[in-house]
Amino acid sequence: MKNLLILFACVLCISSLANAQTLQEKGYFNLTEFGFYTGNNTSMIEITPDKYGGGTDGAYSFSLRNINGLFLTEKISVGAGIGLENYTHTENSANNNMFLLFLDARYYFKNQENTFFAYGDAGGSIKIADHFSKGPMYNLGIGYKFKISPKMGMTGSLGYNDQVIKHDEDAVIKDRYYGFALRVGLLL
Amino acid sequence: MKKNKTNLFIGIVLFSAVMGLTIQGCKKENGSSTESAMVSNSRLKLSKSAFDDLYKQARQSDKKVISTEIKSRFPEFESLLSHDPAKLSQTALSIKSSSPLMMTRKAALQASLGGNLKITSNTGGDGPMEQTPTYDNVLTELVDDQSFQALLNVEGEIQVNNIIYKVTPYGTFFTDATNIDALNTVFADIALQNDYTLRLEDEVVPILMDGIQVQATEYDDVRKLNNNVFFVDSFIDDSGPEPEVTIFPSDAVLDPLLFPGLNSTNNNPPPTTPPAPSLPIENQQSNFLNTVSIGNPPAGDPAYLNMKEYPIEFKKGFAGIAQTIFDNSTRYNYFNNDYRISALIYNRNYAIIKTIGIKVKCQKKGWLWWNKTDAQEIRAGWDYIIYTAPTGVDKIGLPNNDFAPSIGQPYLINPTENPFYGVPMFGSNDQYAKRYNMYGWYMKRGNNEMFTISIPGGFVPFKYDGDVNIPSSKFKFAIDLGWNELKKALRKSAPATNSVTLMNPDPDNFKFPVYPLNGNGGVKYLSINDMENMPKSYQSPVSKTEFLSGDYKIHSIVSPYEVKVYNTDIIDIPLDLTSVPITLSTNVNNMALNVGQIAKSLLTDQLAKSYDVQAGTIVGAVKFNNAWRAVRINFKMKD
Repeated sequence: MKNLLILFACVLCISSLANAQTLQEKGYFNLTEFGFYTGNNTSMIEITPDKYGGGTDGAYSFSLRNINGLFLTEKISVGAGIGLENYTHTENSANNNMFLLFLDARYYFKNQENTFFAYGDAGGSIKIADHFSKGPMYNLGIGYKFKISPKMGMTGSLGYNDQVIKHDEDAVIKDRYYGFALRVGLLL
Repeated sequence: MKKNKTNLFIGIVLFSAVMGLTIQGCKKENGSSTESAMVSNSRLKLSKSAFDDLYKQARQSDKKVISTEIKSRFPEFESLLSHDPAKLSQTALSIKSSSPLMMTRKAALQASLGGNLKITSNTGGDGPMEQTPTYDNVLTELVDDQSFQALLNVEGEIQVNNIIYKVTPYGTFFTDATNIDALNTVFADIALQNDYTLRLEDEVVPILMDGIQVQATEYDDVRKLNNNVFFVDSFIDDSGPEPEVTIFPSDAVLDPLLFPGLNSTNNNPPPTTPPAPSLPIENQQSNFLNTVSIGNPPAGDPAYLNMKEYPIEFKKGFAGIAQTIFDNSTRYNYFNNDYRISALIYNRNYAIIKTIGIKVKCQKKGWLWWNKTDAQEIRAGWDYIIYTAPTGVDKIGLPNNDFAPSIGQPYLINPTENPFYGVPMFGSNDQYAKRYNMYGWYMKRGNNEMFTISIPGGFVPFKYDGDVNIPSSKFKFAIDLGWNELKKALRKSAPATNSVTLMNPDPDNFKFPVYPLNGNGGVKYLSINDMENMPKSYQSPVSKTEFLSGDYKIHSIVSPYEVKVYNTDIIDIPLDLTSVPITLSTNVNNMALNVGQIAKSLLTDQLAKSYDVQAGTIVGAVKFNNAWRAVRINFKMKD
């Protein structure tokens, strides 16, 4: 966990250094998002070759993500992100910590300071420590961006969140979170 | 150039000839279709599909349009709807007391009844009866569906397929078209004894049928009369006449039959003072099935031997919407890399509507996805579907009731007319309690009737959180066994075979009076055969403590159910909270079941609002290339 926090602090530091040299919506950008997810976890476990167990549980998570990228055009940006997310089940204490690495693409509907946008993320979680889980993820959604100062904007978005957990045990056939995520971000 | 024109001319001629032949062919087709609807002996003679079509059209039209359309299509047909009231029908003339038919039948009936025939004073009226409407007027008044009137002739008759139906003020008679004389004879016998104006004022009194043999049929409301003439009392407000029971088995006869354990150790007669019961009276009666020994089920059905079993939990509310959109509740079992069975229990929450149902498919692997393909046989159904109802259901008026009220309208099945007479209940001085009989529960649910019994064998196939833990084979076996035990008890309780019964001396056809336990509704009459054909459900007990505290939910289980279809690719059974219709496959012609028999209602109207599917076990099986694969899905609903 300590290593993770150091790594995350480094990323934020680099981001803010780079940020000073860039202009918003032109060239490089940095987006830091805080998010809340709510949805379900569905699991399936092979008990015997002919019998499976598992079920569906409610789940929620908080996430912190940082995306660094470039505006390719006035409306399209791409970036790479890292993040932390902690999925927690509502009916039991089970949880999964995720360290996310992903690609991000955004399309802004208008070339204006305030505009709606659509986004898509694809990537996965890597197992950086014992209590972290691995598995692919993707997000799709829409949001709204607005300027709060000449070099700073904010974003709000709502989207679908899908995260699969890959287990080392063959008996776990399926372990998947899906649902909706609400995020607010600071765009520099 | 001229040759080209000639070729063109020949081409046009040939084209015209082909078109002409095609049109002619089409006309011939139309002609053959008309043959399924024609007029014969002044009545419409229709195929079933033609009747359905005509009736459907008539339902969608008003009275004038119906009359005009029927008249234009069948000019020689005079329908009841457009009957001239000044002209008496042949039927009206035939029931005049001076008619040859009535005189003949009067003599015959009096001879067979030994002069005890009670002849109605109004049989068409030879004398002046200024205030009495004519037979034709009464018939027209009673047949209040004008669409149906339009299809009946002035005699109230119609022929569909090979069956002639004659609607009369007494009810509807029907028989084979070649047996019309027998129908008229039975009709005359009934007309002699009953006033044709009876149903204008009274929808309860049974139609008198002295001297006529009356037998029950597999249908609740159909009676078989003399000479293969069938009868439905179309205008009665209740179902079926009441049986006249005169001979009842005594306690001394019933005790050893129903409680063989009481004297199994010796040959002494049944004790006059039974041993003290280990359970309260009410429980002891319900316990009749609980004490049935289940044992081990026989070898399972080969269709379900190669089975994969999956759990599915369905979330409610917002999480349910997310699950509907983003999760896949289909489960598979593979024959090989190219063929598989897919079974889906869907519980869709579309925010504005909710749907729940089962789909079982046979699939073949394609280039991009799996496609449906025909299987030799597909089966789909359930072992059990558990519904729950919250508190608030009327309590059944049983004293010291240790069991929660059942779902739906509960009735006490009692073998005799004497209320509370039934399986002897020991240990109580209360004459009523002594006679309580908890064979089972008859229930009216929605538009249909169900028969509910306690789960036999004393086991509960699910936990209260909805988890199921009993194999299909054991559950089905237990249910069959329990029902068979119940049948045995009922047969022993029926009047002896040499006694007089209204319907049939066969105990399976004896109509047991069934009393409403909560005081609502009238007495019903059900035979073992009736119960056999009814959808059944099974109910789990709720403890008295739970019941009194109000902290309980009633679990009612729909009986095992299975649909089999052949040479098709899919079965789709939507489950509805008020009915279970079935939609079959993309190849409807190959279905091997009567869809009408499958429609079921599960709930009373009052309960439908708060009644919920809680859990269930869905099974599907596919036979492909002479091999079976099956999937069993244990599902439950979660908050």
